[in-house]
Amino acid sequence: MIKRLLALDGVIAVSRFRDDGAFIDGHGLLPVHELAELAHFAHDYKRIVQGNADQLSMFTQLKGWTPPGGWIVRGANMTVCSVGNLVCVVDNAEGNVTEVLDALPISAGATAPRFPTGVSLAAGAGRVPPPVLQGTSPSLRQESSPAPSTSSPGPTSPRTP
Amino acid sequence: MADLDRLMTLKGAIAAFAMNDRGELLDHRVVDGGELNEKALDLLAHMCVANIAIATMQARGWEASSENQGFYPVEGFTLVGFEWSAVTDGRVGVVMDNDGADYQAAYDLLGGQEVAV
Repeated sequence: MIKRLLALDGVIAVSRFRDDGAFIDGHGLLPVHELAELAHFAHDYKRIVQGNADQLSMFTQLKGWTPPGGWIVRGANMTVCSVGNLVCVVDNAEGNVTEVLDALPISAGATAPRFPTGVSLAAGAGRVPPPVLQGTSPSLRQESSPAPSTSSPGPTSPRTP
Repeated sequence: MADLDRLMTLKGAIAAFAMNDRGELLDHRVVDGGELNEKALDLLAHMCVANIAIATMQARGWEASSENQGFYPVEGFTLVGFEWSAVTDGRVGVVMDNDGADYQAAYDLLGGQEVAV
């Protein structure tokens, strides 16, 4: 299903990884070992972004940031976009990151775009409890599960009726 | 000077800010009655600079160890948060409500921005 992302303008590669960072699969113009490296890089960066977002919420007492749903790193000519456990590389000259960001969670199986799939790393430390601490987040359960995660990151967005 | 007022015209924009290369806030705009303030935006800017620095290291290593090019230098970082997204490019950023946020439009607008430090 994630192959569909390659149909979007500018998308040159897409990779999927487990919650523990293990490479699941990838498609596109990159060789397989580089698709695996992309997944590894994305997993590491996801954890960093989650941690920083948790601290931002803790210090500012604002709940709008956590759990994070994704991230974008924009390079000189290429952009890397990630939502949940999917990451893709987009050519800046040809791609539209809004289209990609909307398509990523749908490709991951979510029923609504931009679903926050992150997991709070600083769980007990924040004075502002991120919503993931409510104890019902499937993504939190997936994070601690050793089993491969190839399915949906979770239920519908809180803003989706 | 960055046209923060123009960034505030983006759909769902709730704040716009300019920062220096350390992440210190230089200028900002917020919507009336919004939750974001100068202190929060300063910390947000510091977080964006930190994440750009990490991504820059990764992009440098990725390009050095493969034939892939075009990632370095990293010019922008976006955090898609639970309700809000912070989009930065260079030393300017905008915070948008996730509902209907147009990230490409933000990058297009931010790409033409410069900030006086």
